[in-house]
Amino acid sequence: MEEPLWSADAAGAVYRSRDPVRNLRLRVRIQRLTSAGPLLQQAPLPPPAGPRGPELLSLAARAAPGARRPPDEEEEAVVAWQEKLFSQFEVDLYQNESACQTPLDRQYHEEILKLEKAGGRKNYRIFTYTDHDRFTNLEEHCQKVTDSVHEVPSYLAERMATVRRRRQDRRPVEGSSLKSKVITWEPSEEFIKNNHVINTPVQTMYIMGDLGPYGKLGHREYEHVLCTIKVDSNGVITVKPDFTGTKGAYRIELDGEKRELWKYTIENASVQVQQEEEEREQRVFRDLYSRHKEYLSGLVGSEFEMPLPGTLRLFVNGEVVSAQGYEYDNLYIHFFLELPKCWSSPAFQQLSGVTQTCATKKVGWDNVAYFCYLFTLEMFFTQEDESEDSLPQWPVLYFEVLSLDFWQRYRVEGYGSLVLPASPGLHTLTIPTWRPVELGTVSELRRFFIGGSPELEDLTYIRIPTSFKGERLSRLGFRTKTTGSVTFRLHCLQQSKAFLETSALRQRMQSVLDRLGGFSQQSSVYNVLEAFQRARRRMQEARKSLPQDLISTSASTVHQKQDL
Amino acid sequence: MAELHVIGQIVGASGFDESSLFCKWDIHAGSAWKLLAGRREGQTQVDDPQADDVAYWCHPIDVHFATKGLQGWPRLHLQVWHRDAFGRSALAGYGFCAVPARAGWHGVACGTWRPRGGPRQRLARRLLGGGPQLRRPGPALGAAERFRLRTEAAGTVHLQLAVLPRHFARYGVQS
Amino acid sequence: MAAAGSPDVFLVAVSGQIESGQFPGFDDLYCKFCFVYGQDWVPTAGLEEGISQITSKSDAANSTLVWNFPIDITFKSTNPSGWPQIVVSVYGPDFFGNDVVRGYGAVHVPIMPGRHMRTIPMFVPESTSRLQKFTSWFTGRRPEFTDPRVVAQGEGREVTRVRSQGFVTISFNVVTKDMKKLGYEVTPSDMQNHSLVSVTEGIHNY
Repeated sequence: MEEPLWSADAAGAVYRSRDPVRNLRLRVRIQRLTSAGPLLQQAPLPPPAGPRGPELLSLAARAAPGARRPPDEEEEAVVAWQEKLFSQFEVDLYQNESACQTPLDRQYHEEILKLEKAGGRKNYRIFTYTDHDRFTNLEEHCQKVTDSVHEVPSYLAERMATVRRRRQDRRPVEGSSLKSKVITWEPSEEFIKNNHVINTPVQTMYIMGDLGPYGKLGHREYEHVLCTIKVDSNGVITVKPDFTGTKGAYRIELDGEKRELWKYTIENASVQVQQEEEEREQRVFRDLYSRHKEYLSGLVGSEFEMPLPGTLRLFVNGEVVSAQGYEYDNLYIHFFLELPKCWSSPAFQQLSGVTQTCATKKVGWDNVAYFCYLFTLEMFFTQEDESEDSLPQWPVLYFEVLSLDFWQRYRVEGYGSLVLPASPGLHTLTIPTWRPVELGTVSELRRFFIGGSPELEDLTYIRIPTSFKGERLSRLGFRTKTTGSVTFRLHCLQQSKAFLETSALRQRMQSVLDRLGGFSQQSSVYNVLEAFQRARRRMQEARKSLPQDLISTSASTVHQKQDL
Repeated sequence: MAELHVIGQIVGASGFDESSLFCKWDIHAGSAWKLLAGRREGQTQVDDPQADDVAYWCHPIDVHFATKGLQGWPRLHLQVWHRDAFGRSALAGYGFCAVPARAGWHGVACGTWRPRGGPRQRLARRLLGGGPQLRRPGPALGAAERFRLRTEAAGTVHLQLAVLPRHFARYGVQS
Repeated sequence: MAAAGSPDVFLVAVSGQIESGQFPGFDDLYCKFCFVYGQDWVPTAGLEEGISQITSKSDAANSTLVWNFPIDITFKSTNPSGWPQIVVSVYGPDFFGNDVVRGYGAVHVPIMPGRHMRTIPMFVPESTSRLQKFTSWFTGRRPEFTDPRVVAQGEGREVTRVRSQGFVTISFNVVTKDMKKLGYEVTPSDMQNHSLVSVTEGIHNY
């Protein structure tokens, strides 16, 4: 039965850890599967025979009696971070003093001699290349990504390889950068090399396997990368390929005549944090967060002004943004707010306003004047009569657009009105306007030369005049001319205790139900509560109608019983 | 108390006659509002656009307010200035806009105006640069005093603001 | 791991990609991104920085360069102040073959959950004197920001003079957890429909 094996080119995984990276341990197991036959049954193997015997391990539970495997078919090693395990090739190479060129080589030479004296190395096929080795640099530099034969590493790759070797202090994320050093006017080559690529220092480690045939270890062409681990100073650990976990082993197929097949697994063998330690850590974090929360809420405080119960407070941050499309220049807007009945406003509230005079400029097809006039409106709505059928009337903003020119001629440019929106939120409204005209050319000429034009006496005529008390509004006979439009931006907020009660009730119900669980119970619990309340009320009413002596005798009998 | 976070940026400005613009901004709020974190004012870099007449600043705004009431909702005061080749600064426009009240991301286009002098001053401005400025910009120029001004329309400042209110629902406020 | 009772921290998970850039007149560009965030924020998973491949313009659409470089990071925080920003720097070769910077830009990660597209303008620092401009063009040593992260901050920028010369489009997919429980009103992404199309496009049309 063959288990599915994954290709070793599977993508890596990224992990984050705040623990020091020296606690990282990986367990790598490697095993040969020959291509000729099916998976050979494994048997528990005898302990290592000679001084150079590899550390062997019995892998699977299936044990076939009598079947024996050659000793180098499988191996397991637990590797620590940047732990150097030598390959056969390196042992052969560094044993000779003459082959050592750099101080690193000489250091390896010493270590190998020590190992020889101690009885040989423990690993056989699995070995590692650490960050300091030449292999790391070469590998990073020449890693091919496409299958093109002529692939050359891009200059970015070369740059990154150069930077990796530098150990720089990482600049703090929000450092107080001096003003004088914000811009580097003439960046040097070094600066360019470092800054145009990612310069967070990264340490790499390769776990390799020497997959040569039995007895022929130490040839470089049989070295394969089993796993690449990169750790950077942010605590980001990249493991490529990822830990095998439950998904099954990785396979490597060798080129060559025999096309041998090897499988290997990688596991995280770091010491797991103890349960108590983990809990202690969690508790520390929780304390820290709750203290932070208390500090923040201490800064913020807990008061907030509330309107009286039964009132709705309408708070509008308004802005007269612009006026566009008018005939004359130097426009200003005069507006006022009309509050219907049941509405009131605080004493300090100004219900009218006048903007500045603004000369227009051409934007696109229109002449636009920008006012940026901010105003705040605060109103209270009190529902006096609850049984009224009509819905509340909302306040109306009436405005007129006027122009005042150099010769102090003053003209009405337009009238318009705006009902405050009933829903909270951001409302950008563009209101078209009209102005009254008299038929005939004389009044238009007068308007042009002298200024002045028919005006409305009562601005509420724009909508429904306050003096109007009929059913049918007729404006027949009134002539107007369409002029430009005015844009208002209103941010409406509504505040009332009523919103609070419904939401609090909902929240209370929800918290009970969260403990109970399930939405189907919501209606049943509610029904039960309702029924209980009803029954209680009925009982109380019934009790009222009962004769008094009945109630008192029952109470006194209880009393007597207690005395006894 | 309720809290309000305003997180966004002043993206840039368009429609101004001059190039090489920068913007001085500050946030004003009423007495019921307290600034907990973030800078309340700042000045952007000077941008000299290569292609069109739009200046891009991308200046980040990140402020955290705590409030006891709704009065005095924060508002942004913007002043767009032009820096010429000699290093002098001249006013290009004033803009005022209210911080949106609804939670969410808002793209705000705030029109600007500048004080308009007499015809001689306007000619001088066209030829030499410079022009009248407000003596006391900002909160001193409240709604009550605006009618004294004569202004002319200038360009538009574009902002992207994300507003994150907290605990407003606890006090029955719906936005 | 979850504390009993109400949570103290909320999580923001951002995924997406740096899709493309528009740099009229420049070619063979690569970009690099990193995140800048406040003190109360900690990345819990994903990549904080990255560097893309080198890409060239297509023959058809003449000024768009496509990277489609993935972004994937999760943050944990107690306070929305210091909301993370992504800082993008774009580099490429100039006429003489030197590697110069073509633009810096920054934008806040969107606050509202859902899918968002942001087009950010890219600018480079510039010197005021013409002679310095010519020298830097000639030697290939253009002025650069000492630390690209300064683009995400407000301080220290009032003395800088920049020139904007391109745009980068980034798409974000934001998911937040526990913000509502902490009392923040976070509306879903259908709120976006009523606000303007990307502001820079609006400016462009203007």
